[in-house]
Amino acid sequence: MSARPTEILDRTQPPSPAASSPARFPDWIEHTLSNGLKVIIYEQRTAATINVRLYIKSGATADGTKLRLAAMTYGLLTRGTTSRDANAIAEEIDFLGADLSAGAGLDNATLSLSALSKHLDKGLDLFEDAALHPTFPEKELEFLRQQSLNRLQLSKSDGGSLAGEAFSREVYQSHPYGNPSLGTEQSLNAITTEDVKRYYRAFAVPNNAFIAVAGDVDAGTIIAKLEARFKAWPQGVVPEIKFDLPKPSEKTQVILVQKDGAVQSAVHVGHLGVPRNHPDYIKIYVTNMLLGGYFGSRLNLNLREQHGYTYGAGSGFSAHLLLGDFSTSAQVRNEVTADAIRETLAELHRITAEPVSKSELEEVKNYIIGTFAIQNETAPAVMNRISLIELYGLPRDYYQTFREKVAALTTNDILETAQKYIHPDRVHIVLSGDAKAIGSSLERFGKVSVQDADGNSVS
Amino acid sequence: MKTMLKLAAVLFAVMLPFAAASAQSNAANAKFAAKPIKFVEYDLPNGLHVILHEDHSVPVVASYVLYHVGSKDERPDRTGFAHFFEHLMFEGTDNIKRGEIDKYVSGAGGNLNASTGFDQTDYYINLPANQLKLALWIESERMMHGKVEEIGIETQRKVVKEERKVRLDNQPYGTILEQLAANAFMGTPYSWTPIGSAQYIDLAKASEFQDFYKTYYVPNNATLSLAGDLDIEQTKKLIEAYFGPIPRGKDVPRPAVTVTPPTAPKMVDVKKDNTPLPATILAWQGPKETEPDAYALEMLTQILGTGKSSRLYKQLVDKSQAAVEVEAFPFFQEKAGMAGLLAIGNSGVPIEKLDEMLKAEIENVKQNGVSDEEYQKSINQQETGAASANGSMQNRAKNLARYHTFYGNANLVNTELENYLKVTRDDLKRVANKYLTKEGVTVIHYTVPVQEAPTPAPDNSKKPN
Repeated sequence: MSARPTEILDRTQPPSPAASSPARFPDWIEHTLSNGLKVIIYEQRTAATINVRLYIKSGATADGTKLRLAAMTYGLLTRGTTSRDANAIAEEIDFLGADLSAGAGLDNATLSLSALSKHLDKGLDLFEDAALHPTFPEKELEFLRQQSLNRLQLSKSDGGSLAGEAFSREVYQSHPYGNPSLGTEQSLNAITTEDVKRYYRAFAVPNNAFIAVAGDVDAGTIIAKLEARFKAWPQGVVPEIKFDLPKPSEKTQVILVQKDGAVQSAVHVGHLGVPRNHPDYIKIYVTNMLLGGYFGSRLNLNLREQHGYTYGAGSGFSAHLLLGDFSTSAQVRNEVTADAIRETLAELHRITAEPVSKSELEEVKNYIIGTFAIQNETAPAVMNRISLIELYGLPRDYYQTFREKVAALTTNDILETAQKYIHPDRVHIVLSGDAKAIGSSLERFGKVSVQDADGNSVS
Repeated sequence: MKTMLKLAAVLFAVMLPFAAASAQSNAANAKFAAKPIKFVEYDLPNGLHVILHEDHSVPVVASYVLYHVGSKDERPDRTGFAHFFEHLMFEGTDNIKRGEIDKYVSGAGGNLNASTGFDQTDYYINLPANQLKLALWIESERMMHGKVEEIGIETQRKVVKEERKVRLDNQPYGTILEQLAANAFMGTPYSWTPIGSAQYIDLAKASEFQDFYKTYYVPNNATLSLAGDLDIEQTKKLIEAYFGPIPRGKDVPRPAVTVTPPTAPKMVDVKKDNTPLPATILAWQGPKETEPDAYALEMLTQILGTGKSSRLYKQLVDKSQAAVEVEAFPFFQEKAGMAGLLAIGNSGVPIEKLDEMLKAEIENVKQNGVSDEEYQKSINQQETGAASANGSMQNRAKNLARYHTFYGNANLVNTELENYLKVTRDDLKRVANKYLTKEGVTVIHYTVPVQEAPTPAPDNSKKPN
């Protein structure tokens, strides 16, 4: 904080970088087992650990009316097989210091094993048992049902969750992406073991699945081990499901989810977006990064660093298999809720109205290209990326060419992309907060509907 | 945007401080499970401790600077100061304009962050390897020419207050650590948490920032740890050029911490509107992080409360379905420690029943110890933790610096697992009796407010068929 005598080097300027060594996205091996099950292997021998993950390419979108059916089904995989009960599975896997867990997302579901590589065989035995011989015991379904009902209740006291759920409901309407992510009391109570068994039989087949492996193992070894364990798993015919597409919004609307006594509002502003395999996805990704994707983005600098409204503000294009959405997010104190929405809208207008400066674009491109290598340090991180290629049908060289495509973008590309995919005049403004404290300040943005946690209108 | 809220996500905010602490003490490196982390370490004449680890597998470099100052070094009427100061250290320096630290790092393809704990404040920057000098420039500027302006102070006051709301006030069970510290560490500078109290942040004057900077942000109170794609000899020269001219500070004052063992159990009732399910926490004072008992007590709490085969999970969650979640948290710091068990009850379960069940498990382990299988399981889990602890360059840099600062032995990055292996089955029973005492327990209840139960309790009688 005080001036120092002159130093050896010039401290007034940032140092210039040394010559860069090119970072390549690592390569991986693909193999198909005799029953058609694809296996993707990324060898990385730096740590003595291994990750094995079975992906099923169907998830909550196949729930039908029984919301959380996929989640319950996969939750039960590790809670009973033809040779082990839930307790035995937990004992055996914990004893290895390993982890075996299963879960379902919107578009896919997973069963994941992580273990020291020296315990690979025992770990794989449990992994195979859970995948191929689950029994879905009645008693365990009841257990999960009670857990789920309690979690549902817990989620309703979380402001961020309330706003997120309401946003999905508004944007996706009757499409399953808009369903309550933890289900409803009614749907949870309606799920039976027959539903669960039927669901697993229908979707968990090798022609609707693949296995990703990463870590301390060589490809030949793991292929032989997986072939021995999974070759008898028969293929099946996967039911095709069609959904109605949601209608894009026509004018700005405000939804306020009431949360009495909240000291902050959780705010989302956004609308429908694009699916993950959209040809413009990388352009959209870069455009969003600049708007709200990192600490130095416009939204964070405005709402946090300039105005001190929030601990953090951002935005994202959440892109699923069939559709996606665009949404900004911030949690702000009650009295600046309307100001924060005003500034958010101003930033959406600015990015669609004015070209970004060359230096701003350079900074964000450098950020994306540089941190891309940092994100590929560990085996599980690389495995997640490779799996996305398979899940969303991306080109095989997606990550090899990612940085070149980012580097090629111009300021004009960003403006065109923003104008095409961000629509500040027809957004859903969705927030949770204390209606008494903030309600009337929202009228200026559009018609305000006040809802309870389940989306029922209250006034 | 789909918010996939799981309980783990709710607990994340609660558990963050605990998770950070246990990750640190888990950061051993299995002697038979991984390649050793090679490093060199030395002091500059001004007292800065330097640790360098060279690994060329990925062209990135991680810079980690640890200042040995945290919330326990604060005045009781300035809680939250160290963390607030950490925010201000992103504002700028004599040579870096306000807001540009972040811009330089992002623009170079890197990321950065910082955190404040009870004992330490740390700053990390990850960059492509060819940008190493940028990290050295920024961190040496921060140590040499830190600059705090009024506009930055005012903005960050607001930001920090919002951070407190996000993490604590607006979060179910968000104040657990605050309650635990206030009770288990009463009368010591560990009795408040790094986020501190908003009201004290408003009181801080500009001259206090100057004093804090001159006292703590000095090379003789810091460790610079670099890991990744670097050349050690070249890097030593750069470090000398950037950090050599920084003058040594005065000897750093260290607060005395005298923990008073409790003579009678304590009960605390926390009434908060956003408490959807009843939660109880049982906590006891424990050893400092460097004591051998810390390893034993960590293993014991793990056997009690970590994983689906743990005693508490089997008893409270699985068998009786009294709880929706249980957690064990060993929380060992530089000069004091505690160990706690948390249960979040299922809807409608009386909180006293949770306490009874937790206490029955404690009594059981005190009387009968643990089985050989449980003991072996715990060792195996530590081995896995050790094998996964040093995956990224950032973790390597961080673990090296922490082991040096708080254990006086950076090589624990390679050997800490041995400290777990030294723990015997008998030790586990012994520490259960030594620490988990009836008179030493603090019980904290989060009860569900009566007026705030809009969602009817799930009806257990309605079973579909």
